[in-house]
Amino acid sequence: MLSKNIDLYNCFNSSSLITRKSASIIFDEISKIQEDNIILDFHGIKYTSRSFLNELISKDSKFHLLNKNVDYVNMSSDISKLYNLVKNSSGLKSSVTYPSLAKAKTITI
Amino acid sequence: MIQINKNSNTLLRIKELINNLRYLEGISQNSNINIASFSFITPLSITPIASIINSKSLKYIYEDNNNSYLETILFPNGINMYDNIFTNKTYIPIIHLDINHLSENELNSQLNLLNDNYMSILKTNIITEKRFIKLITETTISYFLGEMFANIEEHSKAKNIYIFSQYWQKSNSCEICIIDDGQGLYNSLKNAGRNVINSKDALSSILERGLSAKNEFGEIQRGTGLKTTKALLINNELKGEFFIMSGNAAYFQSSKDKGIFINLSNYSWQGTIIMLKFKSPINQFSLYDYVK
Repeated sequence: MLSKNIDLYNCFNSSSLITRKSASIIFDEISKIQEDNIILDFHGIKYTSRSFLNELISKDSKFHLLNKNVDYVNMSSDISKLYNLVKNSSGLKSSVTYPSLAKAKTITI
Repeated sequence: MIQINKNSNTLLRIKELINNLRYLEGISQNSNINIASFSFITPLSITPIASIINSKSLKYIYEDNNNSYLETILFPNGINMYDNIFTNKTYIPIIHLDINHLSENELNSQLNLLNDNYMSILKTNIITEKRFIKLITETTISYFLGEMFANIEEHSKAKNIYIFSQYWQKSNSCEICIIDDGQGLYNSLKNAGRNVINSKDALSSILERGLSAKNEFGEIQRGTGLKTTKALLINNELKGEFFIMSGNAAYFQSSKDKGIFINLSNYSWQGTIIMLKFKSPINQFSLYDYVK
């Protein structure tokens, strides 16, 4: 199996991956690559948003449809934690609850 | 006349902002306006005003000569990210990004870079109390900013973004105001076919149920950005404040109260205004205690 390393920092020229679009770009790039084994290298990436990771994880399930195996390497501990949190909270919305706003009052200005 | 008084109470500042915005709405393009002497300016008080003055090409006259603060924060035009940012200050001057003609990829690149540069300056310059950053963590601040920028990219259809931050050493607190002039929350949801009645309904649906313009059935859950940002701010550790205004509705909550929805009478903001305010925690803060 042939492997290809994608250096995300050099790819985006940024230490932040914030937007869902960034994840879509990664997916598009992976789609074009001939190699079956892809390594997404997070070296140099300091900040990701939840939205970016959410989108990346949603693309995970589509990689195998492309017959690609994608591994993530060199994630910082903070990004790993957020990645795992997003991955573990995936699923139907009802699994997540936040305080109700029912007690919020309404004023007019 | 634009007036900003020395109110430490954020709700009073919000009322004052809305009055100022109402006043500006009645002013024609290219007109002259008077700006009264300002006592104490916060990002929320001034950033939306900068946006309107620029969009209407208004000419402004300061009532007194003590406008040095406004000049130092580069009010109202701001700068784009690629100019030199002043260092060793307690503020990041108004950043104005004109994103009107950018392609999707260019906008994506700009927002990633904005987050990069903004984080770099926040942590090395304006938050001079280094323990603040260590306790709150860069990850937490990047979480706030990242979610706001991601929403702008995905939902706003904005032409302009403004962002302004101020740190106050005395209270060891920081306020960030991010605004866009896009379609707003109600239109974003409505155009995506969501069943929302008005701006307040849109705001409530997003903050309480995490309604998103782009839910896909069975997909990884969306719509958590604003809810989690609010949760991160209004707890007893960061003792922060969260404010959002879009269309003719707004929501404000601090760590001290249950939250207030605000119906705007005879006024509507095109786009979204968000204010994030937070203090240095006493002990080590972990965003994972609040983010689900």
